[in-house]
Amino acid sequence: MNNDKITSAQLACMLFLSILATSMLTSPSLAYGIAKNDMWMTPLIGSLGGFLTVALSLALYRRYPGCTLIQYSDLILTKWLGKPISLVFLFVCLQMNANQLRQFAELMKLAFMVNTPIIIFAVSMMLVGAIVVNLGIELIGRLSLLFTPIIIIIVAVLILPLIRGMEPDQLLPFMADGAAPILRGAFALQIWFPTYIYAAMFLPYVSDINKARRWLNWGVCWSTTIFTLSFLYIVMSMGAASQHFSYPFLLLSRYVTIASFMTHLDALIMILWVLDVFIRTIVMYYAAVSGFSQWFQLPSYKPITLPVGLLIVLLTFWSIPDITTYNFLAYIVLYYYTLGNICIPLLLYIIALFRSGPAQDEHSPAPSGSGPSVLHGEGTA
Amino acid sequence: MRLSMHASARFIRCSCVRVAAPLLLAALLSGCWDRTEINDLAIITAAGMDLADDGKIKLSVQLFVPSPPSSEQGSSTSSPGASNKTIIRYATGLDMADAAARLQEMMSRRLFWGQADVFIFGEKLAKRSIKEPMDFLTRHPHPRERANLFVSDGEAEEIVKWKTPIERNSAETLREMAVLQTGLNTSILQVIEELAEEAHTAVIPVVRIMRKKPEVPFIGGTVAIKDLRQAAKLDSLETRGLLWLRNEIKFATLTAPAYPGGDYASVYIYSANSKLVPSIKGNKWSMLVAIEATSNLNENASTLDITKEANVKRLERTFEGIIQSRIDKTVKKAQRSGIDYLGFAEQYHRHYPKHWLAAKKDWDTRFPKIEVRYKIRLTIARNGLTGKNATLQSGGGNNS
Repeated sequence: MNNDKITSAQLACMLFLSILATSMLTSPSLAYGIAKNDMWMTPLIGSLGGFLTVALSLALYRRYPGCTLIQYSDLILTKWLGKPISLVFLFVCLQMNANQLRQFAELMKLAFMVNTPIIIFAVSMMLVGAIVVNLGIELIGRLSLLFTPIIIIIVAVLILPLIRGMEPDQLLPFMADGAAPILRGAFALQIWFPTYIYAAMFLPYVSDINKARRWLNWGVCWSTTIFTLSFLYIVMSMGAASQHFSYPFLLLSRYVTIASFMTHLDALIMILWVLDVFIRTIVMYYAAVSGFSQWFQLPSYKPITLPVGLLIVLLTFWSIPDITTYNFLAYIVLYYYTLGNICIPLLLYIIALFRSGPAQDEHSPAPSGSGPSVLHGEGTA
Repeated sequence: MRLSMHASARFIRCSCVRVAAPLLLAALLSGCWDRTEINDLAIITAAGMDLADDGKIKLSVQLFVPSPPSSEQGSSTSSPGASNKTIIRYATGLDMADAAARLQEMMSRRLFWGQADVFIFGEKLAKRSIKEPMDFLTRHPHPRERANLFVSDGEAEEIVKWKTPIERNSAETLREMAVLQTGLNTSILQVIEELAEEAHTAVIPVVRIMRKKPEVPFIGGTVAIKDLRQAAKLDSLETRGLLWLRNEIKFATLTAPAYPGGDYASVYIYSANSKLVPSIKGNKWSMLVAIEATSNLNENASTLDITKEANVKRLERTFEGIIQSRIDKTVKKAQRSGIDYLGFAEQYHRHYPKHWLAAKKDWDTRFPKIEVRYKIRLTIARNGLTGKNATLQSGGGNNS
């Protein structure tokens, strides 16, 4: 591996910001659509996905120190079975990259820069991302640590002025339709929470590994807190209107006035959006690039940075002709995000439990087609 | 030799990069797709939507036209209004977006909705449907959700083109008046929020023009929207009752005879808080209106000696009665029409979700039967700079 090192705190910030980036704008309307005004409880339950993935990545790392998920899936499942499964994980990773890039570009075009070609947003973000990725993991960690307070301050500035106008009454009726919608809403949030599995891709670079568990669990707690607070904020200030708008948080940021003369604060949310998606891009991009280099067992990931970037830009526009299709995809990506980020690590861990030590030849080479079906079996069990 | 060749190759590569980088940057420099100069914009400050005779929508906009900076410098000594003018333009279209597009055809500058603070629906349009304009206003990324909505008494166009002597334009006048809150102050977001609630009703303030010289528009009364069209109309006094129910009273002056047959007394309410408490007992649905208000005594021309605690209490009871009758008038009116614009449905939905689910379908028949009770507590906290007003009484202080 490289000599670059990050600290556990930086890793927690990286993943925390990655989740915050896209969730801030799109999760409220998704969650409101399912759980109505009880949606503020969904992150409390949904966070279990975060804690589970943190535990999985740490437990697997303890068994295979110095290895990323791509590397130990070969060790756990043998090369024949491990390669296809880690390839599925990498494809989900590519898809996440592509989705967030499309989301970023669409929102910039919709709300801020109507005439700019959408490809400019995607490509410029990817090129800047490529520079950062090539400069190494250490820079990503430091940038995340640097941006975390800025982003939290922006979120606070957007939320605080409207506190007076909130109506706690909007939270009633409490659980009118029982617990089922909340559970379904918590499941929908699994688009975001299991992103913490990407700790498995970064743990080998962490210098203070003994603190990793504490920091990562704190990260999940922060994510839960900020999810819950922003959901409470949206329900209490918009109530039933939350379902009318696609980006409730963006809308509220336009609604905020500070002391009745500072209005039109959506420039702030643009700063938040660009900074935060930038962090998410470099984190996920790095995971994809380093993952592929490990999959091909390359000595360095740098030569494939740009090719992978091109692949991501392609996926950004491939088969998503318009925003309606994209929004519909949210219900589908949920399943394959869950597959990639929860089912695959869970499968690896369960099999690793049954095997001691590095890979032996117990599993006869299976046809690669059986990989995904095994996964489905595990996922539903 | 070999070393220097290597070095020169690196030098060439370096200089290639140095030349290529600025060239690549230059490619981006031309690309200001979303550049907008302020003197290319026609800034809409207010828009009125009327129903044209053929069922189309007539859009009238009030434009603030910023003049180019060069002329502004020249006229900096004169009043700031001289270089910037407000103009009115009209267009008719199949829907709001169509009308806006037609309006654009007639303009040399690009229409900009981002500063539009006021949107006014004409009465005829409000009676047909506000669906179309509302969809445009929330879907289009430019109009702000904080913009005020009004329904005009008559044509919206009249209000838009009215020239105000005090503020910059009529949009500014209306917005300031709404903020002072003698009537409702509703933003686009609030209307959407109310329409999304259980009763699917919303209330929008009415602007009318006082028909005397000089013509002055003012916010008087309210329109209740049900099924996205105007369903009921409240006058100014009934609107006050509505404001009490909605907990939107900020200031109020109440005037009543201090005691039956006596002279008038007035209190100025500076803090008020109201709450709707629903309850269901058996099949009997009732709503408790709980109000707490704090006021100062503004005027007392009567012989009542307000330095005595018992008299102050009596006065408080009198004004509590005034508040109650005001609210009750509004409640009765709503119940007679069967349209729940008071927000009762949402209260039952919040506090009795199961009952509400069952009663939801026949709410329009159930709503008029709801018994409304009142618990009003008004405090006269201060009585002003004078106490007992014996000097101003004709017969001297002969009160009890």
